[in-house]
Amino acid sequence: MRVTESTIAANFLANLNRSRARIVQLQSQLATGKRVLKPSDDPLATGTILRLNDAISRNEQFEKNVTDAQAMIETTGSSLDGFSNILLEVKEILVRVRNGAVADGLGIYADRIDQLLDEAVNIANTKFNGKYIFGGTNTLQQPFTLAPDRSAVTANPNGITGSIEYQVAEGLRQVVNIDGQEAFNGTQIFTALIQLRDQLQNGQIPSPADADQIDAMMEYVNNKGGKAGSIQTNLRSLEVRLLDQRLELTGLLSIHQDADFAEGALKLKHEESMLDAALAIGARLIPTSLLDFLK
Amino acid sequence: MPGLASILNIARRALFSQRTGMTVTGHNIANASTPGYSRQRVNLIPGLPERVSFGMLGSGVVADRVERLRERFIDRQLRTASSSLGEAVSQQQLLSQVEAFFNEPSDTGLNAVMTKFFSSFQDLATHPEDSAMRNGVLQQGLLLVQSFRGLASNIKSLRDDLLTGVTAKVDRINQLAKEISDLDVQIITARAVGAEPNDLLDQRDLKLDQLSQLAPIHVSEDSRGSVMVSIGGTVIASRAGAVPLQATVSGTQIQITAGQSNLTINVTGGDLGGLLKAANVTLPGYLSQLDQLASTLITRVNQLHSAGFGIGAVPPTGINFFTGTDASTIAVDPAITSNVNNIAASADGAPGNNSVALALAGVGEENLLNGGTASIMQYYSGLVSGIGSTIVSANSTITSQDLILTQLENQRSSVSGVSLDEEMTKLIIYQRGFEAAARLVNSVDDMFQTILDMV
Repeated sequence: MRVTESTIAANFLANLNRSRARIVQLQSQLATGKRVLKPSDDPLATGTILRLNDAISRNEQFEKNVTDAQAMIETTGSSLDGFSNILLEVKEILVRVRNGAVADGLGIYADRIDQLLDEAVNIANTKFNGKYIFGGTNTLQQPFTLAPDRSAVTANPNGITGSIEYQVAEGLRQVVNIDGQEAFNGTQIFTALIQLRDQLQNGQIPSPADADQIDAMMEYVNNKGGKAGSIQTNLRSLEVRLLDQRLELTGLLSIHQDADFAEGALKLKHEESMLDAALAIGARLIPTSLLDFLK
Repeated sequence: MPGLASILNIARRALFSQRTGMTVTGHNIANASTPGYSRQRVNLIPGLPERVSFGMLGSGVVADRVERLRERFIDRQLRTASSSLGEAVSQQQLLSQVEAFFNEPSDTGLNAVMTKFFSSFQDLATHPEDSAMRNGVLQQGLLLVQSFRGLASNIKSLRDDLLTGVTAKVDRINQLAKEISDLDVQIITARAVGAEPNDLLDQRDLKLDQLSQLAPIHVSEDSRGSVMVSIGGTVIASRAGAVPLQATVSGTQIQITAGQSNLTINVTGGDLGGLLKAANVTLPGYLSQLDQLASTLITRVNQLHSAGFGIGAVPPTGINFFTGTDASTIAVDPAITSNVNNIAASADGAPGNNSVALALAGVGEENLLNGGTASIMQYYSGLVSGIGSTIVSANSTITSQDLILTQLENQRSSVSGVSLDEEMTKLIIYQRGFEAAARLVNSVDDMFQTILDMV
């Protein structure tokens, strides 16, 4: 093959350009720490990266939802504990009254039960984050109202039922409330307290059946507290799982997206020496000509 | 027996021939870096011999003709490769712009914006009573609208700009076609008087090379050396003249027509072919995928949203979240922008009910596209990796065609390129030849003197 000066020059330039293009690519990968900066760097990996970014954001959202759910159900659980403590005190009063309290003194106990009724209604109207947690889905309206003459407790006529679900994982929803109907069996407990108060005020000693009823109610509320507790346990294990998932997803993203520094630096070093070699060879070959040797 | 005069004649022809050789060598050296130049060579042949009693006696040298060293076959291959490269380069340049519009993977691309939009409904689901969350949904909705519209308008204006690009390429083609047909006439005229118009031929070949980068041309040459250039079966340049092309817009398509007949030409390569493909196929394809995505999102979100209830004394219902039908017209419904309490989270009007918000948060993952096999998020990531793949394949075409082209150019250069070393060598040969011929004149002169002195 006949080789001319222009062939040498063109080949030299083409090789130099290719070498420089590779160096620029490596440089931007190393500078940003990312292997995939635009879809054409690796179309398949780009698809995966987009899906992983979405999955990571969703996972973060689920973590946020679980935190919110935990706060909500914790408040529910402690409220139910408080409610159960009220019933415990009512039970103690009944025991004391039935163990030979004087009929004249019954009024004091009636007053105490009346106070406890207030507390119970307050607990049933607990507000968390601006929402009535026992209102079912009617979270903005007070679920239970004590009549001004203190003769009855009525439930919100628009309803105190409805479960609230949060999405806590991919395809998984968790009920995060116990509505008023379920938590306190409607207004039954309040009605029972009002009856007891009235009996004591009228000097009547409550019957053993009344004591049993309070026992049953306490057990009912404790059960609901247990339900809140099990939801909390559930959420705690979900929290751990979501954290694991986030770490796993982030790791995967890094595998697809991030540049390997050691490898990149080595490649860059290699390309640099290639460039040096190309330049050195060009510098030697191009100026050489027969002209140098003619007098 | 030849006389001294005939030796002098040989010397004269030798001087003349060596001088011609030097002229051609000088021309070669002068044009060593001229684009499209093919090296030339003087064909020196021995003069007609003279018959003498003891045989034939040479009569010196004659410069027969100056020829151009050129390989037709390489030219043809080179032009084909040049068309393919031109197409790939213009595709690659355009698609890189589209790629930049999408700005993926990033925290600000449509992928992240859609994720945040759906996430804002998760936040709404945890606090459906809270107007801060409703404002969050509205803000994310407005961002989403902005992203869709921005992408669509960027792609559309790129497509509109392409008409300018196409017109520029067509003008250049027309100019080259005109020059080629003018050169062709000059070549035929020169040949008619028996001269070999080497430099005109080089010029014509150069113009043909340049033309092949713009469009896939077919060149046929007749026995007189006149060429006929055609694109897609339509002759655009011959010695009869050039047929001008025009770019016209019909609907959303850019078409190329030739001459008065308005015959449509199918250009499937070269810079022009690449631009046409981008304007007529690639960009509208991306735009329609984006529209499909937007319209699916609008329809599904509205379907779920209008069935839900907002917040109010009488909870509002039957309100759409979005208006518009595609990526260019999508907007947040004025009812939502004017009052965020119209955002529906509840399925029954109870303020704590979040079923609708939860359903809306899941729209991105529902298999709504490609006949129920792809979610909105999957469809979008498919669209983005599709753009990437097209660029990758354009890049690999560029790399391979570039290598082929370099190879062919090396081959062409090995035949037609000027080697300065070679020319210098020839120069010395011609110079020495000239000196020797001059010495011959001297000798003959001396001989004449000797004879004259004898008298």
